[in-house]
Amino acid sequence: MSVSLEDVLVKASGHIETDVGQETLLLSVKSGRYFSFDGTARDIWVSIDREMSVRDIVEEQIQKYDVDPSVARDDTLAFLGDLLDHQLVAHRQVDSLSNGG
Amino acid sequence: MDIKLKRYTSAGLVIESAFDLPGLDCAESIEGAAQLQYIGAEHMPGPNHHHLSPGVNWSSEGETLKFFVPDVAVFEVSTSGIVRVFPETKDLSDIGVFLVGSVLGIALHLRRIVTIHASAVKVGDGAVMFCGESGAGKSTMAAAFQMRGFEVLCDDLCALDVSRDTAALYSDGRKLKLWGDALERLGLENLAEKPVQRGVDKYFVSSNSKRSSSAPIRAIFELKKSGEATTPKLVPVSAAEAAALIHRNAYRPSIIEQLDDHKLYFEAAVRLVHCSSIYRLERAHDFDQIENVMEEIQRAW
Repeated sequence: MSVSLEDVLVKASGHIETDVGQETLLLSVKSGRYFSFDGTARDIWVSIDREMSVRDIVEEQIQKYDVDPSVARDDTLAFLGDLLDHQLVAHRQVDSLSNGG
Repeated sequence: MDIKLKRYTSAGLVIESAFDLPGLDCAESIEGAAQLQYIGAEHMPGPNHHHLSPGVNWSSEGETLKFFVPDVAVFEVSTSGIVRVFPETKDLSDIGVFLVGSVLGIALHLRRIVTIHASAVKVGDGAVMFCGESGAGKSTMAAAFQMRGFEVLCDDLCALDVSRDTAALYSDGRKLKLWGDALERLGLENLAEKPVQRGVDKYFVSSNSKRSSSAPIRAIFELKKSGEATTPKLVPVSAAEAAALIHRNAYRPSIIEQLDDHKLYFEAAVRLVHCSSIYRLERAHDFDQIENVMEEIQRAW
């Protein structure tokens, strides 16, 4: 599933997560699969809670890690695409955008 | 006429049973109220309970879980701790094998006690667990460490206490169960007792396990057979792999799905990741290598 820079993603329901040291450990109850995120992956996972656009998440990565913008963009889009494929995140609905201001 | 129930302990529970429980220590001196009672019952009325999908041998109804073993018994396990046994055989010794295994596992699940398919030995003040699929060598490893002077804490199932800051397991004083070839290769034939089940080349073996002690878990090793490994390979696993390892080595993992106990096992896995070292041990299934494998394990724990 594809993700664009204008998208805003939200965490999907149906998973349990907790922090273990420097990692976030997560169980998808639906699939029974476990995931762990550390480093930049964990940063991005936390950013999703703030309902930022993908463009803003990429910008944050560039600022924080002083990384080449095209590398940050491609890596972030790929990671978010994986999260979508595993149904750990979903696109924020347009209705909630308009209703939520 | 009242039937005298025998008293046992296993997995941290006091059990009263109308049936002999093979491999467990029976003692009148066991104190405390029973948390589990195995009682006999007449044949179950109602629809034929064997009309289930192939491979499915249990079903749940409210707070009761029924476990079917054709030509042996139907076991009705309730959250109250009462297990009604409807025999389908005249040889009651066949029933006991299931009461100390699958039925106990189901009863522990219903009490929301995290239960892992593993053996364990005592190392210092702590416990080291060996898990893995059936035939992976869990009991053999425990027996081999018993020969080196370590106390066996559990065999087949390990009931964990994850309610406090540490993760601990309960010892239950049960006998080990070993296949004939393992007995022979370990030189333990003289400790072998009766077969676990009629016609099966697997035997109860005296263990030095003491009942009712518990110990914090310090390490977990998942035993994996590898056709390629010429020398044992110990691989520390990530937190996510460790959590998946705990889940797949749960005793009857399908019951976790049925009882929707994902959160309980997830939290237990997190506690175990914090409190213990977790490894995958890949080695050839070769008795000639067991000393090397044990050395590798002892270096890691």
